[in-house]
Amino acid sequence: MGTAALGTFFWGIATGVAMIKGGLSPVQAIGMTIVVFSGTAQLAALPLMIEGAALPVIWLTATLANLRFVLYSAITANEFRRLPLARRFGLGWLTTDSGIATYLHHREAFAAQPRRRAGLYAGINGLTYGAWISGTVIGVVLAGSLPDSPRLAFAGVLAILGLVGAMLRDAPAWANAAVAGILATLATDWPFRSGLFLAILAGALVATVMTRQPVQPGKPA
Amino acid sequence: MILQGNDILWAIAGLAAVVFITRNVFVVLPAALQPRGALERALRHVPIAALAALTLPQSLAVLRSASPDLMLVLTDARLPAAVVTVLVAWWWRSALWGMLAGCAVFGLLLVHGAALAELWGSHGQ
Repeated sequence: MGTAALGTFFWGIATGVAMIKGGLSPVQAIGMTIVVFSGTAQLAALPLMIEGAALPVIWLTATLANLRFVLYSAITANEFRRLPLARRFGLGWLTTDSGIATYLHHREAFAAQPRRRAGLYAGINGLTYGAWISGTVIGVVLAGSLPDSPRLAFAGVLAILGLVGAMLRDAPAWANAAVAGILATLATDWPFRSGLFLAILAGALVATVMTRQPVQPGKPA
Repeated sequence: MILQGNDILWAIAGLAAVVFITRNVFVVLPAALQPRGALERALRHVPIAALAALTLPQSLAVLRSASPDLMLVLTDARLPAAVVTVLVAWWWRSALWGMLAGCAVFGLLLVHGAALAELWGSHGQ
């Protein structure tokens, strides 16, 4: 579970550097990180904020870049439907890519205990939140000495790839990751990260088809 | 020109609202509109797809250059590091060991990648 937080920490450093070099003040950068808590949205919005784009354009761009979280919200809504609404909102807001993947990897141990599952989910994503904030603060403070280089963030990428590798337990998982990764690579330049969203849908579809339960004779599908 | 004054605060506030809403859309929808059956099963596969889609483009970026060759792949270092990370993590069922192995390869190639590529090339001639 710590690997997800470690990857987020390095991503936070790179994002902190990018926000300062983009022109945000340290207070703005750290404040944005605390209340927004989304590297995707922050990095999608940053160049538009630097250009002085209209606010609706900034918000729409961030919305499109974050569409995969709508899918995640369907997962959390089902997982925690018996909990109070305020708690469900809190858990939903804490959702991260690596956090929800790690949670689903470990949830079976608490399958029949919704409150313990909520604790597990909050713990994993809360740790990620802490790593994100601390990484960003370090990036903001050291922005003058660190390069705004993609290599800096690549340690975070390797941490996430490590998570993916550890979860590749069967053929559908391999197919899922391969299809999503290759399509996302081919569609890198599509506008508003639409290629990313379609790649995710394609990967999930392939895995779903490969894991569908076989039809038993005499029983409906 | 970068947003000034209150516009930055409004931008950040709007981003916070966007993130909150996108992460809670289905929480406010009634039970009748929640995914069921195959759709619910498909959602379980979304996180792995998302993680792969977020990370593989950066790992494979060198292959999108005009003329990728061994020298470029080794000096760029990302693709070999990514491959090692996934394989080590898969084999040992450990994300941490995968990351450490990948970081080691990444660091090694950043420093010695060009020399290794020249060595490989001279042996192949």
